[in-house]
Amino acid sequence: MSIAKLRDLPVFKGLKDTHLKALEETLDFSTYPDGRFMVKAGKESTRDKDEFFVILGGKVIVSTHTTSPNQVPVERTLNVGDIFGLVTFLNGGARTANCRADGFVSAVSLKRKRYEELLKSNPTLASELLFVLAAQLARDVRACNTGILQAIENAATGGARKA
Amino acid sequence: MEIVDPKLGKALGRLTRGMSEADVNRLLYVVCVFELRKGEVIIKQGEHAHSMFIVETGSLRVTVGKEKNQIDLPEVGAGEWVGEISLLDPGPASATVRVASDATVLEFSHQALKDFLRTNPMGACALLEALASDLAERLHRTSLGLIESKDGRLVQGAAPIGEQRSWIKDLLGMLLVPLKGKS
Repeated sequence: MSIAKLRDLPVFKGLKDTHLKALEETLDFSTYPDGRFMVKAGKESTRDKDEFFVILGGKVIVSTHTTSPNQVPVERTLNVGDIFGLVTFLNGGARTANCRADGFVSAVSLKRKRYEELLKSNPTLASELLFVLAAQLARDVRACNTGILQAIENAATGGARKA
Repeated sequence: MEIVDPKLGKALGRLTRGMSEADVNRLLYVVCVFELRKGEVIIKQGEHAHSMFIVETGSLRVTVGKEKNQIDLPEVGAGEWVGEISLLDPGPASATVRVASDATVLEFSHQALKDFLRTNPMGACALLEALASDLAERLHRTSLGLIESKDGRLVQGAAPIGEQRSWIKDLLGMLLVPLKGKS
């Protein structure tokens, strides 16, 4: 993996080369064959090993974990540059979704323990990294809000009829 | 070292968990304090926003949608905040925020966050981790609502969104208002 690859990822755009170099040494690079589960829903947190992933190549299918027959499982395809696994990385707790390679996938991941080491050795980089992750989460929440508000508008204008 | 203004320091609450007292003081240095009267609008839905507001005293009312489709979300009180999405990623506000009862609030702008990040990386990590954890948890709780988009509609289970107003309110409440009572 090269820092050029990291620089191409939207999430790391804006990080200085010195930070990208340090990040390259901190992140784990892995590849996954088609169908391999990268994250399994319900798997308990091991804190040190809790990690989030950024997709470098290929696609990953994320499916929510349903707990009752009335719930509709949601499936979403993630692409190059997308991030997953942040909930457990940040908060611990069991994994909340299944994430499965759809074709060959390459990804980088950051384990909680490595992040905490980074926080001590290079707090500037750790804070920059957390900032880009938090900003990504903020964009996700905004996108979700926009979708819900749009659905309310659609419902109000007759866009949604009884199924 | 002591916190220069313990009352304001207390208002920052769980945002400063894990922060040194020196970093709390530096954070207090970059926020602006405002006394607001009931009815004042501090964030307007759709307009560009770049600040988070932390309530020291009083309360704020959050609403989304327009006119008859307007939805009131739970009030935001002392030690809670609004606007963290715009703080992290300035852009159009997702909701309108009014002062529900005379309030003292701390405004923390995107620029102030950038300055704090540059000058106090350890303190910024504690702050960002608190904000990111909150956002991640809210997204997760929302995903448990199991929303699916079909033909431009959002549904929970088999019910169209327009028929589940209380559910929508809960869902938006989870997305827009920081988690309450999280230690």
